Amino acid sequence: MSEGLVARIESYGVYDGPGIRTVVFLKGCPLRCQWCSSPETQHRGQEYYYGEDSSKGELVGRYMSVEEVVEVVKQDMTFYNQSGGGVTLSGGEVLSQAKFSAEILKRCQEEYIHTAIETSGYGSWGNFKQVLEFTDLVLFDIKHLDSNKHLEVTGVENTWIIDNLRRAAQLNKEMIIRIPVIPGVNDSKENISQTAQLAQELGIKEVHLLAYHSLGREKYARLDREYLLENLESPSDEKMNYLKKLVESKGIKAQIGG
Amino acid sequence: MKDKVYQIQSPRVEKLRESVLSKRPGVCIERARYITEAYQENEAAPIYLKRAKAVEKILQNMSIYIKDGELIVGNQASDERTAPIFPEYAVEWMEAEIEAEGNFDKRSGDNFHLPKEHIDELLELVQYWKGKTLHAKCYQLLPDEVKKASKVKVIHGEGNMTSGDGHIVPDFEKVLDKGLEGIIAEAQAELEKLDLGEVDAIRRKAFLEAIILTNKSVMNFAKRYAQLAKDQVEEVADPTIKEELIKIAELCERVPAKAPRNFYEAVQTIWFIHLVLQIESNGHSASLGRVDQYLYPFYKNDIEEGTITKEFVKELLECLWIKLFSIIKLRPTSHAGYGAGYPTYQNVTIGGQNAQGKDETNELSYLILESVAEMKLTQPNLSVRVHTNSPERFLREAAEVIKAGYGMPALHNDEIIIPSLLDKGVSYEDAYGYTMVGCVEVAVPGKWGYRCTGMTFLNMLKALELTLNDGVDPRTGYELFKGQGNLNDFRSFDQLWKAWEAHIAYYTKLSVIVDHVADTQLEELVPDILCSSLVNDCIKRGKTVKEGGAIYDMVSGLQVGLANVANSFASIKKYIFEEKSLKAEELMESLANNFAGDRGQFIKKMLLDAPKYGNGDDYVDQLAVAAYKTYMNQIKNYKNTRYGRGPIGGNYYMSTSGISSNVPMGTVTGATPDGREAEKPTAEGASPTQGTDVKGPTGVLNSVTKLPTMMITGGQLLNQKFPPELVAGERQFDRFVSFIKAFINLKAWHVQFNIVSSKTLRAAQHNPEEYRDLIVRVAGYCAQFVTLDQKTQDDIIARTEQKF
Ligand code: SF4
Repeated sequence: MSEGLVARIESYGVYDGPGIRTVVFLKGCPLRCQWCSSPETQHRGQEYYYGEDSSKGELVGRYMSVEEVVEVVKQDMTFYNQSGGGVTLSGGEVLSQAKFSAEILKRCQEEYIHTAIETSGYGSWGNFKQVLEFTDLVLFDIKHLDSNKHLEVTGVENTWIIDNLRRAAQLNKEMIIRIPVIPGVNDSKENISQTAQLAQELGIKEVHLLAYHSLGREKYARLDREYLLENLESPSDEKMNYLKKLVESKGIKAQIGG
Repeated sequence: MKDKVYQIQSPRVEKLRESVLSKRPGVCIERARYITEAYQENEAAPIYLKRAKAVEKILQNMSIYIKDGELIVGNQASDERTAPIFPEYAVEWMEAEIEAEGNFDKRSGDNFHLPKEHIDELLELVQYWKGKTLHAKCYQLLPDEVKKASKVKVIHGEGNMTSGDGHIVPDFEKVLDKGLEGIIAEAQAELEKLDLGEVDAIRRKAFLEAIILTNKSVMNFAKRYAQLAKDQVEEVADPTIKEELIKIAELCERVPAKAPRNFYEAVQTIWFIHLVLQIESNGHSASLGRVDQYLYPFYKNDIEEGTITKEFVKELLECLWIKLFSIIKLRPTSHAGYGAGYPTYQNVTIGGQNAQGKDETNELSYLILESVAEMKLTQPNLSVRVHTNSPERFLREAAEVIKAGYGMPALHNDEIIIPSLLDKGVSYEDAYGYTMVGCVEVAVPGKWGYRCTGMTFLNMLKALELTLNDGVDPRTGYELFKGQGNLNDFRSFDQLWKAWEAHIAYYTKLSVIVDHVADTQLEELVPDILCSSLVNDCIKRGKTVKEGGAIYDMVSGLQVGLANVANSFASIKKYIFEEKSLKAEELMESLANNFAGDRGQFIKKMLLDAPKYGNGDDYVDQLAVAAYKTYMNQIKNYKNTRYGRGPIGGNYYMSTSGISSNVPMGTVTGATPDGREAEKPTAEGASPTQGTDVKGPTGVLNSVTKLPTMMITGGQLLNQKFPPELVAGERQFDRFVSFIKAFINLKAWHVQFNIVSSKTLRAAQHNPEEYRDLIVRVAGYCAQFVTLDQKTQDDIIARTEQKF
């Protein structure tokens, strides 16, 4: 069985899928979203994370075997049973460690643990398919429909992503599109309604709108990196509600928050 | 989903609540005055009758009042929130405190004001009691080594020698069924059966006569209120108040002498009984039991007949809660820290199931829940019994009240408590009928002796400190248990463990000695007659509860600091014996100087980084289990003073319910290998050490449920902090309810939630060490609050204030 690099494992996860979940954050992501609230998971390798006094860094990233991860996940079985929860693989990017991810998900499914992935959709279809086979619920992040804009704010184009979204939709998996709502970046009426439109076309029934927050900001300093959105404010409640209505007008179920 | 807002609806209740809350806690001399007179007049009487006469005299003479708007009447002392004095338990400390401070109102914590004009009288009364009190007599009996251990504070038993037992639920159902006249008739019948020529008959006669006298005194006490109400009718003009007073007069003419006929009379009945129990003895945690069960027939009947409204039921309940809150106890400062905030732990239990496994929640359970939530007082201590078939509505409404954020109700789990009781030999029917007493202890109402949760505290962390120091207490220099060696001497973890076992065996024994000393003296000097008459089978056996009158009598010791002990062992095991990255000498040195200097701080950080109990980590959790079993294997060999005298049990089990004792127990303990600084509090009950359960709420439950809970029938205490974002909004609230269901399924004993407020978050900014366990979760983001920079912390505080 393979080993993978895990940034951290969070119990009582409540924003990435139904019920009480254990969220496994894998390390390594090919994207560089400006708003990313977990920059410590981006780099594909172990790295140090410094505290205020910068004396002793905390090592982020641990190599774990599939079984080790599954053991941790299994500890909270009672909580999944009572809440309809399960495991969510998140990132970083799940598709960057596709084989490892697929194996974890497979093992969890064998234990009748509900499986979900949270993905940017950026990866080869072969990798994606491999992971999807053992996934009950896909939380698919769509950041922007305009590929140029996408490139500008995440560092990659979206062609691969949209392509994967279309293909995945054909598999009849339970799928939710998640849009991080970043003011001035992707919160235009046009972008959101086009995304909802696409969901409708592909038969995806649900869209979640996640309001930008700046809480990840402090992590950048600890990684000795620059935070580009220093002065950006979270979108207002009115704005979020407006976007929600917009999505709903396409006949799509919408929700604010995960 | 709209958050439920709990607001008092009755202006009367609002006013009464305001009055009791604004009262400065006081001390009342009257009880001390009348009990002294009664003792002096009855020096030659057998102790039972002496006690009965004392209660009679107090109830005849103490000031009584009916406040404007009160629906339920009966007062403990000359005013609400005013503590009576119980000189028969201990007086020396009162004299000392008055001589030193002039009053009881100079205390840093809970203070009490004694009116100036009564100070001289109190000092005079004290003279009569000196040398005659429970405390004085216990002290005579205490072996020197126990005294020494008490000074070191590896054990603490002060509370049992300066006050009565408390921790009991009498048979309220019986009183509701036949009134005190019924109790008197029972005693009378036994008296008539007595053949005075038989062994022990003379003693029994005195006991039964005392029961009759005391019950009559309670009946007459109620009649005083009837008379007072009649007198007050003449004085008031307001027709509504007139009418209410006439009603009160009518009530008090009837109950508690006769069986109540309706809900109102039933509430007044239980209050009179509960009240006089707290005038008879100053023990705390006298509890009301399963109120929603025994009051339900009255409620149902009145509602069906249309003679009462739900609003009025709630008003009556709220008046009762105010009465409970009005009761306070004056305790010596030496014990005050063991339960801070004027606690009286008057428990009310609702919900649960019957022996057929059928849920017993009813409409009254919901009204009780709601009324307690509206009052936002610290009394009663509300407990909810939950199980796998608890109705969804009940779980949700309980969760809703918890969410309102003042720590109540506590949840107690039938799924472990009932099997645990069955395992101890409690009958099937009785086990299902259990109630909470005080905070987390359990008992069968009306059938169980005092203090199912122990008397004497065992400071496990101090025991560990002594183990590391070859039995010499670094703080006082006292030598307690020498010869096992100190940490530098141990060649392996095994050797350390052997020493730990030897130390625990020794202190366990000392703690039992303290219990026995207190028990024998409580039995001889201060029998509670009213209480004994309401606990089965005292009347039939002709014995007080303390003499073995109760059907069940099992008690536990109280252990404090388990999490710190487990964490300390984990550090030692890992760094000293496995990794060998730290030398024993070096550790001992930095503990001795409280982590002074750079090296000390480095070692402290290292110790804090070691595995910690409360995160589901087997490495340390199994050490907690083993450390606890060490104690369990000792205590199970001991018996209490009722053994073989009638009750089922007569033995010991364990409890981790040590209320706020974690503070004083920590004060006397130096720095410890879990990275805890000297004098800092220990962990509470079975909860993880403050700030070390960084894996979130599921990890805590996973750790706690590894303990041998089934054997900890004395009760297990678990406090959990929940950030507000995890209960706010429909989706998170649903998860919170599922978390409670998981708690039930995991068979944990008890849990109480503190919903973190922005105030707490601010405290955490200033005191990060103590709040390492605060985890904030915001979509896509999760972090330990105290590790964030200030700006982010401020952001989160702002969010908490706005949204949640
Ligand atoms: S895809 Fe997710 S993990 Fe990757 S950079 Fe974007 S926000 Fe961060």
